[in-house]
Amino acid sequence: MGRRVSIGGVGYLLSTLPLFILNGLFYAATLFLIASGLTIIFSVAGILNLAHGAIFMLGAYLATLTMLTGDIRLIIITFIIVPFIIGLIGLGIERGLIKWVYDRESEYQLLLTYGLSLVLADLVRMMFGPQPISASFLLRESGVIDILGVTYPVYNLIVIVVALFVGLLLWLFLDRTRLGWIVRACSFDREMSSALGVNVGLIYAFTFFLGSALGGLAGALIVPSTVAMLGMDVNALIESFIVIVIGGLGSIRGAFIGSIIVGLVRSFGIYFFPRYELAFIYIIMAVVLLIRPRGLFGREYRRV
Amino acid sequence: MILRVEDLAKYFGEVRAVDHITFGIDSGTITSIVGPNGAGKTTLINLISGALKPDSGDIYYNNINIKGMPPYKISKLGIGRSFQIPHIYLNLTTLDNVLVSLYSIKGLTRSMVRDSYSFKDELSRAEAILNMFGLLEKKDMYVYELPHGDRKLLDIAMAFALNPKLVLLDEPTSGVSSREKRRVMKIVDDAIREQGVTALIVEHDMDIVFSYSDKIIVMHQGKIIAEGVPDEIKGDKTVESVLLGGET
Amino acid sequence: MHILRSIPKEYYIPISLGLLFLFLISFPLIASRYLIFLLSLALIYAIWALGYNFLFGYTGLLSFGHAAYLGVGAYTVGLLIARVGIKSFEILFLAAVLTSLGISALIGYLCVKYTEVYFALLTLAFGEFFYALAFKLYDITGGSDGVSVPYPYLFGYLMDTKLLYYVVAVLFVILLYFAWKVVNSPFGKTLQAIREDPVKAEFVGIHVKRYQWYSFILSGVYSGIAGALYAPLFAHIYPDLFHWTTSGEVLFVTLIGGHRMFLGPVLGAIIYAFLRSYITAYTIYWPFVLGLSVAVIALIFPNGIIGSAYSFIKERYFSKTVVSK
Repeated sequence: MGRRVSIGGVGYLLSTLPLFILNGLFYAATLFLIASGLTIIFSVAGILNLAHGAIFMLGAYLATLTMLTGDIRLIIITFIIVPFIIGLIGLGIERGLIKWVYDRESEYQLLLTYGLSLVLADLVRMMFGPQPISASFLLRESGVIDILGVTYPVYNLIVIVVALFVGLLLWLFLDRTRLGWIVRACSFDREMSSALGVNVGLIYAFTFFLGSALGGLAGALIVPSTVAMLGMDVNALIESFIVIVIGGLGSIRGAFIGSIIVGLVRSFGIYFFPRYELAFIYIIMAVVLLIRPRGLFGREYRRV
Repeated sequence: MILRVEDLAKYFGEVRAVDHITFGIDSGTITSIVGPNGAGKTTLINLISGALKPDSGDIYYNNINIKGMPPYKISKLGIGRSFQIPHIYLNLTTLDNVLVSLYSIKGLTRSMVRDSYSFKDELSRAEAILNMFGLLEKKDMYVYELPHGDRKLLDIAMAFALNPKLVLLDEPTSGVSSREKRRVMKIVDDAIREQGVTALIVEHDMDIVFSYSDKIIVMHQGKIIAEGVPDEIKGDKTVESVLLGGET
Repeated sequence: MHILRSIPKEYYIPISLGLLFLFLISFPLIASRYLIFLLSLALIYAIWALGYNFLFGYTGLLSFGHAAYLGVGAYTVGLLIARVGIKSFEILFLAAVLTSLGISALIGYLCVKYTEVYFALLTLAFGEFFYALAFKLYDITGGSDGVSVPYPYLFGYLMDTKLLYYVVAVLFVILLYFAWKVVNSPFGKTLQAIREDPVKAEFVGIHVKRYQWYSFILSGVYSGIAGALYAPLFAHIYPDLFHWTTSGEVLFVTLIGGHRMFLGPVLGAIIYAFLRSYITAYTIYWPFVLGLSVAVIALIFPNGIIGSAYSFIKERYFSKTVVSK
């Protein structure tokens, strides 16, 4: 398959290299937000929210509502409102449904979130129809810029910056604020935290809010650049899971590195081996699983 | 010496759960490990049984170095173990619980078509073991119906079903009323003597420890601070303060 | 009632199986083609669900990607007959068994290294991987057009709906009996022990990962067989077969029947096959219904709807007997 790149093609390759990298980073940016949300919920509340992908998709579809209007101010506010709404939905799910299964075996937790993901995804289909929705107004309005020798949409760069910024905020929150410490403490030892007087239920609810909001933000961010379509939920879920496998559970840093790896691999795969690009990510995941099960930065997965 | 531990250590970050200890156990004896909470007793059991990998040191079982072996291999070598909070198969019958151990040790786990109750030898052996532990009448009951004391005995019985040479019992009488404690320990002691196994028991109840042990090992903060026969340990003042006080 | 009580216990199983077999064999004599089709579908789902439940109900591993092995079985048959021209079902069947065995062994090996949540998501991911493969390798698999599967031949006889039904029925009875044997064997008890307490199992000398792997493979082969029968039944297979909603179907079937009962999945399959046509006639929002049912069962009826009904009835009947004593 490498035959594609001829001698003269190497020059082509080098000149478009920045394009692959930028696209990879753009993809990594949204993936990072989704994966961080998933891993925070998972490591704090102990629930792998299978509906997280659907939450992301819902955020994307909701964002299309304003993005299609072409009203710039409305669109900018969308990036605040949509994550907030999605966060509330996540919170609602946690308080309404998830909290009943905390004590149950993980199969029931998985089944519940699995059922939820199907319901949410079909609700999206009911509300928005089966056709993909394109709302690239913002992408066009932002124009392009010459960077690293290629012409690239400004919007994508903004998304990358936003993701970095949010990542920084997230890290500061978890590392420097009191609430953040409490959240981290809960992720390490639930019983201990509760014994220390922390209202664990409230922390779980907050975590679901935060994680879902991150997913919603990712959805809103991705809309102008690509379409909102059915099936993006499963995609997002699996890819963010792969990010967590590579980067390690419960680690924002891991989600960061993991999403960069997945984003770049995907980008290169699409350009050079479009039929097999999927395989690369799976191969990397399989390799990581075999060699370093807890990922690059994950905590030791308890055996006994 | 059926079991010899040399310079064994396990760290959890900064904490030295087991801090370079060395000791040996003679075949056919009952040795108790005592000490305040957090002394490293359960960690020690976990290390010997393969649940945890040591950070340094060696563990010799019948002169075989079992350090780092996975639990199922160590069990197959003849080391059985029970748990502080009983690990049992709740949704199976009492009889089935013991049978599974027997299938495992007799290499029958790959048998896919014969009915599990058609193995007459194993069936009678299972019933004998249940009888030894006073659980025979309850053999067809589901384990979730059993009271705590019976569950602890079942956990131990399942370990004995492996025909072990060495059993590691982690607080066999914990969680049981004081009246029950004596009954449970008597059953365990009888089983030990009948089967001729060597036992390493973690225990908090000092009456039981002094009544049944051939040797006592006292641990504190990961180290062994005393080792000897019950009479020696009884009079030891440092041991007393550690066991009563908890911290030094 | 007296006659029934005088039959020795050992004969219960052979007699029930015999009766079942007789019923299934005579069914086509009284039923329309459509009903024969539905029953074939029901039995295929039953085979699939029986296999699935080895892993879920008996070993305690929840897989969200079991459509993969059904699909592998179906596509093996479909591709061999449509692209390679092999028409003898004996060969097709064997090939499907081998491919599903191989694929489930490979994927199962990776997945059982993990437990619970990671396991579930890994199975989901691999399921989606096959879904994508089925689309992308369109020159082999026909992509979204799928593969048209003409009637195969069984020992020279054309496998039309009727013959296919007989094959399905016979296979079902055999696989049902085999499943029963396995579940009651030491191997079956070992799997259950692993489900109940994998820690204790490890400490009684059971190599837990290895046996979880065996269970995975067994369920994969059952799924592959179901798939091999599915392809000629529907005469056309699509990549949807690998989609996670298809995986959801076998999960749903197992759950409504009750994953803690041996016959639960079978009953669930029969109910589902007959219900499915009604439900899809009323609404295109089948995933919604499916998802809602799974969520409700997870919350309220952990033993499945039939399972809960069974325990409920058992309790009422049982307490009556105690009271009357």
